[in-house]
Amino acid sequence: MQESKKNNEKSDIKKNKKNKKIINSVVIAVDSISSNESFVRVAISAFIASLNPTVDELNDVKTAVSEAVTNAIIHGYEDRDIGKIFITCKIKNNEITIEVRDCGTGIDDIATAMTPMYTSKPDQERSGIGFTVMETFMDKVVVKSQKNLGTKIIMTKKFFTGY
Amino acid sequence: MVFIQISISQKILIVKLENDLDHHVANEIKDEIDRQIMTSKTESIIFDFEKVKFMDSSGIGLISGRISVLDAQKESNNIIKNKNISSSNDIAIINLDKRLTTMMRISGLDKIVNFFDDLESAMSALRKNKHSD
Ligand SMILES: Nc1ncnc2c1ncn2[C@@H]1O[C@H](COP(=O)(O)OP(=O)(O)O)[C@@H](O)[C@H]1O
Ligand SMILES: [Mg+2]
Repeated sequence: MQESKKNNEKSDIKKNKKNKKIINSVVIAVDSISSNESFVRVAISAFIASLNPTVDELNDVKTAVSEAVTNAIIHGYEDRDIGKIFITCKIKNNEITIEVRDCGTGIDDIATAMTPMYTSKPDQERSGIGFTVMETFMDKVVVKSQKNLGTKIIMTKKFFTGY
Repeated sequence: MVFIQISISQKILIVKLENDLDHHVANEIKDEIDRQIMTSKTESIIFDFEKVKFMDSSGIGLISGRISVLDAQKESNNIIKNKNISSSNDIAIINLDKRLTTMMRISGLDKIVNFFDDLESAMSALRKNKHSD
């Protein structure tokens, strides 16, 4: 019993011993409701735990994911329409790629949106540093957006310690 | 889940934040803090981050939002003699770890509010502040 469980766990992570490659992915779809912000943080943390990230690395990822999901809720779906947010997390060796996508309003001018302290909703106590936080805590952040179609944030980060 | 504990001492509101401080939680607690600011005629606020396990930029919005509320309250009570002086000087933040300090720096909040190591030094600094007004 004990043994077979162990084997199952091993096969969960596709591990090609020859190239020592770890490849794994998960897709999460949630409604744009603010209580889901913590759910997504916890789910992503659990998913990447197999990489043994340090507490700091884990918090970096949680903070960036929280910013992107919050943006989808309050900007993408403007805090009123309930829409779906798709979060994809891919693990490839010691690198993770996280995509956060919404089918909301989209961003007119991405460069302006990413400017530190720019916010289109100052009245809602937004600080305008969400994108700066993502860029600070992840290695790379790419934003793709189309007016009225939606926005996709692609973030990558390599883990060093623990891996 | 508990997110804040509020107490007041000599018109200084002490807000102890707990657990995760994100957009969802910030929305839940800001009205409660504002109610306290108004009913207790608060003049200064200490935010204690000791028990905060997680914070994203919504925490920054929560703090700067309270600065505006304090400004508005002082203006309506004619406490502010000089309109150019913001209430940010009446805000103290204690028990920040390295990550939270980075967030404060990114937001520029580190340049306008005061940081202290513990409650006692924050209290005495805010009190002194009042006497020199
Ligand atoms: N998913 C999104 N959909 C539409 N607009 C967005 C989205 N994410 C960000 N934005 C725009 O980019 C701006 C900056 O975002 P951010 O840096 O997170 O600051 P904040 O959320 O505090 O406004 C937002 O104010 C908004 O106008
Ligand atoms: Mg944001």
